[in-house]
Amino acid sequence: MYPKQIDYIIPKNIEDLLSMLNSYSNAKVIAGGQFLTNLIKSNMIDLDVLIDISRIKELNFVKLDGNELIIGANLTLNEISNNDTIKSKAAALAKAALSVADIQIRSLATIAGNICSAYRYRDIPSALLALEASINKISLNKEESLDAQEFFIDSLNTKCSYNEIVKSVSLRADSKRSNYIKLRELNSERSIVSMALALFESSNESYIGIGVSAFFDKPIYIKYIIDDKKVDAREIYNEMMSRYESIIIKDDIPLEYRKRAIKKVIDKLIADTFSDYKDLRLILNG
Amino acid sequence: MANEENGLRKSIKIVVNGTRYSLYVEPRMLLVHLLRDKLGIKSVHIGCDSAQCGACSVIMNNKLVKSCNVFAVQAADSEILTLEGLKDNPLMRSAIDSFIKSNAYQCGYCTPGMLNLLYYIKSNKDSADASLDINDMLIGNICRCTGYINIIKAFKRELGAQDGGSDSR
Ligand SMILES: Cc1cc2nc3c(=O)[nH]c(=O)nc-3n(C[C@H](O)[C@H](O)[C@H](O)COP(=O)(O)OP(=O)(O)OC[C@H]3O[C@@H](n4cnc5c(N)ncnc54)[C@H](O)[C@@H]3O)c2cc1C
Ligand code: FES
Ligand code: FES
Repeated sequence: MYPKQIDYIIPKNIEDLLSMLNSYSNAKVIAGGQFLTNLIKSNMIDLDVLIDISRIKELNFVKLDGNELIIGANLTLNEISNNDTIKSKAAALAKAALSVADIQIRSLATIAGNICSAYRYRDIPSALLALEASINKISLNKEESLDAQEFFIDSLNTKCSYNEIVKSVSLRADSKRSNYIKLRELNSERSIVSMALALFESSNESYIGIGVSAFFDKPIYIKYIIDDKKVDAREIYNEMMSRYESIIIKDDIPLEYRKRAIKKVIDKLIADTFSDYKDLRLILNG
Repeated sequence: MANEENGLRKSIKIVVNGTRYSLYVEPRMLLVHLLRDKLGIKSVHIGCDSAQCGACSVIMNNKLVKSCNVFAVQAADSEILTLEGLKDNPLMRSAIDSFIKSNAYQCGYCTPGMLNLLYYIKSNKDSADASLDINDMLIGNICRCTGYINIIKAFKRELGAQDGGSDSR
């Protein structure tokens, strides 16, 4: 089936792109196209112009700047899962990227395309939240950096409006270790829960940042402070439920199954990440 | 890429199986339709048209992509390889032999996509994708006939004893 006619243009650089966005009223940027193309094919979206940003070189980079790792919007999930700097400084993100969809989709799908897709079961937000990322946006008039917690309005919407784009994502590169697990449906790539954690230690506090997506109706962040050299997975579960139980995604997966599943995922993530770590005591949900 | 005088057609250059083409395409045309309908490359199958089944998988600039999920204009200036262009490549020859020896096909509709996947993994042995269990490699490729067991056998034959021996998909 052919969709309706659309025009297709390629900006030379970011400046060119922003003025194009301003001059069309019904355009959309396409990066990897791995989300958008299906919508266009099935006429689920009405647009006149596609602006292909995938060839803008300024959006394709990885830079380590002190304790900050900055990733250009156009980096593909395949590039992320193969990048040595990302693997060593932000393992949770490299693993999350490798868990998205399938080999073919990851070849073209980009990090910005993932976080900007109106897709409930996005995997990447969990890793960005755990690694306390900021999302760097640009429009004709201003550049703005938003905390990831603020960027994700709910499971479908973000604070990225029509005439602005995500330029890059900045992550903390100073976590002691970080990790990620996706529990997906049998025979499908779709997440039941996507969860990441990162351990941060300083002279006055040690804590674990935990990000969860594809489970609540908004990607969420929990900060778990480590007291008495103990990590209690039950406390993490209780904290999540006390704050967000009312917004667990309601779909074909029964609520009770979802709650059992997230307990198991918390346990596995804690055990896999910390079983060899110093003298931490781990208490699991069981 | 240039706009044609009338209408929305764009001029693109593309190399497919070693042959250079200069063509006019509508932006809404998918790569799979360019390959099948304009260039007559029939190993590229359409199974679902929604980026699920992998029957349309081709190699684009050394990456495996689903050609039903790429507009032809996005493939401008790229190099595409399909089974027709790879059949004499030693890595692909050996993949085909393993499919035959393992009886890894029935109707054969998914087979070109499966073979391109196996070829991609063999050509990128150090990649994160090649470190996956075979079941996870196969997530983007659906077979409605074999139950996967013999496809997994063929993959194992080619890749060595990687995990993925079950038919849990
Ligand atoms: C079969 C299938 C399976 C999938 N499975 C998963 C999965 O398991 N996990 C998962 O997380 N996702 C999944 N997806 C969703 C999606 O394909 C990917 O998340 C992908 O990362 C999208 O990236 P893209 O670059 O291709 O985005 P595109 O399709 O190009 O764009 C997606 C959206 O983001 C916008 N956008 C792109 N770049 C920018 C930018 N720089 N600034 C502002 N807006 C931008 C576009 O305008 C569009 O609205 C799946 C999709 C398919 C088709
Ligand atoms: S036809 Fe392309 S994935 Fe099914
Ligand atoms: S052999 Fe028939 S679909 Fe795979």
